[in-house]
Amino acid sequence: MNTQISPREWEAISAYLDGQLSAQEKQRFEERLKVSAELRAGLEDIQRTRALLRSLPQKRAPRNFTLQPEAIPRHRTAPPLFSIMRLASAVATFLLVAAFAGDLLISRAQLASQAPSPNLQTQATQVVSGARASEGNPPVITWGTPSPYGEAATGKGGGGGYGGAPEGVGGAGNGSPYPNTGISPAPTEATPALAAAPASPEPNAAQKVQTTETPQSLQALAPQQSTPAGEPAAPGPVYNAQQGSSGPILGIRPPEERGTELAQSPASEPSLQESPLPERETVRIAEVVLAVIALATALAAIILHRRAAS
Amino acid sequence: MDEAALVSAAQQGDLDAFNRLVLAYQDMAYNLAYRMLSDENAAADATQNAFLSAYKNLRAFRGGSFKAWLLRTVTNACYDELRRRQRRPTTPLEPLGDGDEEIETPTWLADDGPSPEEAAERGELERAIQQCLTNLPEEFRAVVIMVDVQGLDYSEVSDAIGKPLGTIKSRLARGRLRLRHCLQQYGELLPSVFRLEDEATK
Repeated sequence: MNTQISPREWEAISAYLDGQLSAQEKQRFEERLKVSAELRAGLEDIQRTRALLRSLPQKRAPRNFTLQPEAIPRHRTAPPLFSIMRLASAVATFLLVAAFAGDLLISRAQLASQAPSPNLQTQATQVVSGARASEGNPPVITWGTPSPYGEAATGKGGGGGYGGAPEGVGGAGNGSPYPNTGISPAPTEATPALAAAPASPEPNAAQKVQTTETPQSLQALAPQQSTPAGEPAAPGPVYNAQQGSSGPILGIRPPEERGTELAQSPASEPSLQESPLPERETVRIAEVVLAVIALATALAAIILHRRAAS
Repeated sequence: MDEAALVSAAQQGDLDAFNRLVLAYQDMAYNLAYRMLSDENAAADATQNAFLSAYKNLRAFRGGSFKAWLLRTVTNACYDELRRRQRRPTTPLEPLGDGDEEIETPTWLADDGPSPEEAAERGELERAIQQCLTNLPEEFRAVVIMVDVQGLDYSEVSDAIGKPLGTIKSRLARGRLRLRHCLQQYGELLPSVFRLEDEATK
């Protein structure tokens, strides 16, 4: 009998009986009801079914279901300790996150501050290695003294010597007797250069001085120095500007300015690398302690909660 | 003291206030449980458990219709009882298929409830309807009981069941349709009122 009535129409019949159709839906349904005997029969069936259900008597409670105090689980004995544990766990977790975030920020700050040093060191190494003479004697390269004669220094990354070398790129010592090399290979030449610049024997002297130069001028300088010397491009041992304490590279700054920078260099470098270590260890220990506290209190809270619930 | 004040007091731990709510709603709760479970003792147990659960979880009540919230608790207690029955191997539970087939099955006849013949012989329209209700899938049964037996409106049922209105409408329509099929099997055996109505429509 109801095979022609779709599930949607059964739903509409049900909603229609309960007045749950919108005005538009109701109008459409009633129009369809007029032309469909099956729909009318279905409506009557559901209406009768609903009436039967409504005819069921309301069962009264056989007894009172009021709760007695002794019947209520004693879940209120545990909550104070549970609340404390829960709060402690939350606080420890928060502190742990804060400590971790702080640790992370400090690490990043240290990385950022240390990052330029290796680059400059590499550049310094390249410069020195390119200029190193094959004799094994530490060469002394001086540049930066403004040449009154002009052309040797223009655009070549360094000043020419007083020797007036027309191709004196890379710089030459004052009054160098090797005008075409641009490099003073003889140890004796180092003496006036060292004297002219109050070079310090401390490590990093060369590096620090060179930080005052622009990197471009240093890089441009390196290959040009080797060419006039007629030597291969320094296949020899690399001269480490930080480790070599006896081979300073003298910069272009005035002597008084160099002195100040050299004096600063030994003090500033180690402080960056070594001072944070104990602090970071403390932070790490604190993080571990906080994690343990957070876990332990959370576990205690869970156990208390389960005991209260059971 | 109005209902909201009683609920608020009960949420603060006032057991007397909660018990006043229990007295106000216990008939409704028991009626729902009985129609869901078709067993007085099980219905009483489910009702008691529901009130106990309601008291324990009263802080979770965030306003709205307390009646609907309580009905939800009762419904859940009934579902728990039905699942407990399902785990018991000796207790048959009807499959969720079409009602007219299940009535004739041996498991159905082995139940404590009367057969359709017994129901008709004793003239118990109520028992016949209750049997048909029991045949319904749980989720249809709850909606049909709430709307047609207890007279709740759709929105209250939606709150109590935790489903949208569209779902309530659909479940109600399908539940009524299944009940119609089921009751037609009783047609000749039901009291004269129903037979006359039935014949009048033919």
